[in-house]
Amino acid sequence: MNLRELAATLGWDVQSPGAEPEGHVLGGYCGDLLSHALANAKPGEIWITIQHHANIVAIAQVTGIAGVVLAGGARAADAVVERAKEAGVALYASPDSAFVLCGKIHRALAAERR
Amino acid sequence: MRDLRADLHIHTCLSPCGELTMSPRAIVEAAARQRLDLIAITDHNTARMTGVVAQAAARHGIACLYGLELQTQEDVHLLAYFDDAQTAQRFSERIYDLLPNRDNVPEVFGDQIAVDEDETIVHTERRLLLNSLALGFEDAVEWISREGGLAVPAHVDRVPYGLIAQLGIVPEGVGLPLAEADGERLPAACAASTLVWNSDAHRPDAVGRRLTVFRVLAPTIDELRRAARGESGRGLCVLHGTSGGVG
Repeated sequence: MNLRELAATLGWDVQSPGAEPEGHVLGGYCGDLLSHALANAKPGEIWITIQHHANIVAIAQVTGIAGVVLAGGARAADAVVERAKEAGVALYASPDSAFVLCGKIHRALAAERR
Repeated sequence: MRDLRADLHIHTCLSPCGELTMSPRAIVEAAARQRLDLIAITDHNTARMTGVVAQAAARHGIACLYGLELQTQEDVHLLAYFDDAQTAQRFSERIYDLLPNRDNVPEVFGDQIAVDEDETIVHTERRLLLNSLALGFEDAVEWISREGGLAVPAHVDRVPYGLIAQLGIVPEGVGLPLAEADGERLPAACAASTLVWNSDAHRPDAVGRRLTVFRVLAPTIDELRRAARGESGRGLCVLHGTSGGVG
């Protein structure tokens, strides 16, 4: 399943479309500690976080993750969205909690593999 | 030019994590034992105790900056210093409104007690102080500067609550002349800042355990900034204090 399909299936709000919406989502990473994300998030993963500081864009770029989905109704400020657009980083927002998002994403990706 | 032995990160009994023994008298006596010339009280998200400690410190010839340890929206601990009690107090009152309205649970977090110079309890803080403000890191730095204060990220290399743990990298465009670390040197991400050490004391015998010596003209924020830049013979170095205090 690619990022565009996943976002549409789960009804996420697109804050920044990102450069590669057709890229396949290979897994997920969940967490709000940016140093841990920097060390552990892998290319192609979708990052579930409530952290909406501008540094998420830089971390997304460096790690090569597929995109960021802000959980629990968190939304990035306009300046952060602009930065994400410039960097080609996909940024979504969802009212679902991180727990619920993880469950839905895991189920969607697992269903595809069956 | 004077060499000031400074410990600019000290908690009092008002911080939930600070021991009840951290009264103004105990702190100042510990600072005197460590031959400190300059101290700053930096309780979590409040400057309430800075004035009373400054009065006690003055009697020992110890200068004070008026500080707080903010916890920003991203869970970053950020020290804020001001030259005068009034500005610190006003700042403190305004950020109080940005704290979640959640009660302290003393059995879990610890007591939040303000005392006077005679160690009489004058206030019990109901709201939990050790909590994140509805205030982002960059906004906090800017606000502190606007009030004439100095923002210094606390224990940048500590997990959690250090700047690098929480935000991975130093946010673009934020000027931080000084940065506090637990380690011997600053992480590479903080290369633009100058390293300072403080005790982060929560009990009297920890005061001055780690300190910074500033070579400056006076114990002011402007002078600390100049020392960070190494301006006109100013400078600073970090130092271990005497363990357990002297005498």
